[in-house]
Amino acid sequence: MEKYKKDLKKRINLISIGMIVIACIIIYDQFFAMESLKNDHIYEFQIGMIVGLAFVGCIYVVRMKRLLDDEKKLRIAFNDENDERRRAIRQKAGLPVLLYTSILMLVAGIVAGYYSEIIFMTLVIAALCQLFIAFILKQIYSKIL
Amino acid sequence: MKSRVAELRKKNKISQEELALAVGVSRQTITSIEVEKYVASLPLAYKIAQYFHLSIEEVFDLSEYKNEQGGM
Repeated sequence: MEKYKKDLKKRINLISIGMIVIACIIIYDQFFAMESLKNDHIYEFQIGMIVGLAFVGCIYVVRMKRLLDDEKKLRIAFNDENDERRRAIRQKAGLPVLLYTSILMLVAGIVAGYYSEIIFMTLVIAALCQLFIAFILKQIYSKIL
Repeated sequence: MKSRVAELRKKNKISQEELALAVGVSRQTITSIEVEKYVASLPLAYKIAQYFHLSIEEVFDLSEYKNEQGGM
């Protein structure tokens, strides 16, 4: 369990660094970004995504800090993370692969967005569809297993 | 796969959560095993059996696998 505690602390530190980076990006975008860039749809999407990520990061950090204070909840969280049935469900739903490919497609979409809006929309919609399918499959397998 | 997990748990007055904590899985996994939706892996079956101080065969019904073996 001590190893898991260290792992959680490491995760909190990494997310905190990520949130500092996000805060820097938001400050840069608000005060130093070019006006022509600010009028772009992709810019708005990026800001929305970054703020969303920061919000999710905040919730995750609060949740992990609470876990570190409660030994029983920590044990339950450890069991949940390493639960063989959940792992089987995730694998059957193809979640590990679909999650990574969706993130890659989103990043690729944002980069490609500077050159073509159609490519941006296609990649983002495809990534979201993939995530939706994975979520549905996960729900189905959760009922079956 | 049929099992005596629910029966043994009730006999020993243990909640699903307590058993889950002891064998290192989620409560939902214990529920799935009890309602025969999920087949526990060998290490998990061993942990559950050890928890009740019994052998795997005494907790889980392996007759369907024995029949398969007999057909070979």
